[in-house]
Amino acid sequence: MRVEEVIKAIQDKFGLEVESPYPRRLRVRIPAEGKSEEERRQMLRDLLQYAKEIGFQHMSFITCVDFIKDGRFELNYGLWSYTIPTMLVVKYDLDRENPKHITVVDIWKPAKTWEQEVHEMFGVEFDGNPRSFEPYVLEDWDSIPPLRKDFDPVQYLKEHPMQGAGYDPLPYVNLVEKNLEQPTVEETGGDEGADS
Amino acid sequence: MNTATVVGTASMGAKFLGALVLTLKVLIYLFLMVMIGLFLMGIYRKFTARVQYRVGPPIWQPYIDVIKLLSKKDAATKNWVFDLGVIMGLGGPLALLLFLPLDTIVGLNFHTKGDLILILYLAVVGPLGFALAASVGASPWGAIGVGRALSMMLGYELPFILGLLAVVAKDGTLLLQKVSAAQSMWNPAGWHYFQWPLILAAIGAHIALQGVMSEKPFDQAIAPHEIASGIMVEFGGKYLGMMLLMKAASLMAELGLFAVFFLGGTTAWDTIVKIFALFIIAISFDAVLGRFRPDQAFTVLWKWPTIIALLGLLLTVFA
Amino acid sequence: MVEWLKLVDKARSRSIWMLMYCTGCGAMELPPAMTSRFDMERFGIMPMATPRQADVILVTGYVTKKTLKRIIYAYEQMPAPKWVVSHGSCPINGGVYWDSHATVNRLDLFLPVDLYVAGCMPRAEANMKMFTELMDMIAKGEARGWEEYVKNRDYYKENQRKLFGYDLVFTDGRSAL
Ligand code: SF4
Repeated sequence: MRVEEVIKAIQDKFGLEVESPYPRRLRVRIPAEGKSEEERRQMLRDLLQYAKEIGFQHMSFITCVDFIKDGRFELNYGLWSYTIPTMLVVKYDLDRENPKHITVVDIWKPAKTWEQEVHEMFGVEFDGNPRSFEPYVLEDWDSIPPLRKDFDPVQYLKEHPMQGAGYDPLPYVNLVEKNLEQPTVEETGGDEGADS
Repeated sequence: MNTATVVGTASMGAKFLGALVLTLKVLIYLFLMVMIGLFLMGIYRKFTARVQYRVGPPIWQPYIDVIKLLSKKDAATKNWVFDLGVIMGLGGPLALLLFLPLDTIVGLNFHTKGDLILILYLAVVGPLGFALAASVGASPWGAIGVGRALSMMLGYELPFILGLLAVVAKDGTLLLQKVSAAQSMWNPAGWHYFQWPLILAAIGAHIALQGVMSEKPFDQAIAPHEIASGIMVEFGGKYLGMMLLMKAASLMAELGLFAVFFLGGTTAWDTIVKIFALFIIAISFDAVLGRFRPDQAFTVLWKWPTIIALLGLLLTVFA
Repeated sequence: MVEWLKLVDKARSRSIWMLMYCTGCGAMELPPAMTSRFDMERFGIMPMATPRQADVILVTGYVTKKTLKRIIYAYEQMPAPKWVVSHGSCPINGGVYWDSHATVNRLDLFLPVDLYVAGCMPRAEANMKMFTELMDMIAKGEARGWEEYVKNRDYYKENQRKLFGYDLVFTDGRSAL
């Protein structure tokens, strides 16, 4: 299959717009409006299944981007094809307040680990993934998930002085306070770095 | 017999003195052999470094390492099986050394009593001891290393023993002294290595010797890059120092055995020269070869060296 | 006796075996120091695969909370004259990762550091300098971090407990060290 054929096939089958921002990269977004949660989930699963059938052999990543201003998480499913060769990124929007989602482990086995990581770093719950609730790289984590935009590392380090600064005289705590003037979440809107 | 009657008639004090002198001689002999073995290991490290276009450590580096290791304090206490295994591992090659003609260097003559059966028994005591110690340690890498070491032992013993048996069949004796007496000391044409059909047995045993010394490509048991140095994984400090000494002693023992059987090693000095020559050949291969996978190594050992050595044995017996 | 100890110290300084356990980015500069350009084996320095055989642990970069646990376990398994070298600016005060949620900024609160190498990252020349320096210190009997660790055990253990929230123990129930 060629790239144009992939674009056309997805358009015909799902009625979705596939954009190709630059060579070897295809992006398709599951629309947020006009559909129920159930239908959108089903569409995502069908699309991932279909992509597997037409020759995308490798799930490279599942990542999450926190758009705190819009109040949504954006999940990116990256599928790579060695034959075309092109990366197909499927984007899916989630409600930020209540990030519940379903797993795609039964279609793509690697998703087990990716979803585990997204759960740990963003707190998205993947229903049906047995590993989703196990810790991935952080041990004994006791705060909100660290890659959310409203997580404040400086605050976190203040609460954990051993990790952040030092023992008794705390010589580095001053440093921590001084640097507080860096742009905060409200000013940047929290949407830099949004790319797949 | 002679000595027995002499001892029987001698006074108590003379007996005691004789035993003391004998013990001292044995200790000096073993010490000397271990020192020469460590020197060989120094040559090994320098040689490998030069092959890799490096300067390399000084040639006395293994002595420094041993001093350092023996001066360490051990972090964890081990159980007694571990200690026993280490002592066994060091004792095996030392006992084996006593029955090689190398002992003429201090005027001993144990080697006249050594025969092949005894030596083959003693040769496995060392590796078995260390396997015992390593399997007591808690590390899973140690268990893997033990598994590999034992299967490798099975692999290299067969061709090695077949090669030695060919010599036994030719000379009609198991005694080491008679085997070396059947060869010339310095004339290569008189060595078993260069006599037809024994040359086949010798080549088979020589390939297996690489496995006996666990040099590449047969060093699966201690592969540091794969299994964190395998059987040695739990050895630290003094234990590792003992292991280095054991390695030095067994180098001398294995190479000495080969020299006696195929290169006509009769006295200490010519055997030592031959050991050095054999060792240089072995480490030249070690420096440029990679490592087989365990299954590959086993297949290779039971295929080519075994076939060649078996051919040599059959030709010797039936021709 | 004193002479003998001097000899032992000399032997220790000429035969430093380092643990092949690397954190962060700094390990990148060790292969050049090992191979033919700088060849640290001419000083008797070798990489070793297990903590039991090692004399020095190089902390080659940022230390995360998770890694620090492993570093402490490895350190406590090493037999006694042992040294810690902190390599790069991250283990000194956090370096560029000073405000990361994952990293621990100061290594010397949890382990006795004998020698620091500054830089982000220290080049192979700095590594060689570090090794010769360490050799000098050991030969003179100055690098005594392992004794410090035993003497100030309460301090270090308290710090570790405060960081992790519990005592580190080995899997068989022994308390670490
Ligand atoms: S000091 Fe620099 S090179 Fe070293 S770990 Fe930190 S960031 Fe990486």
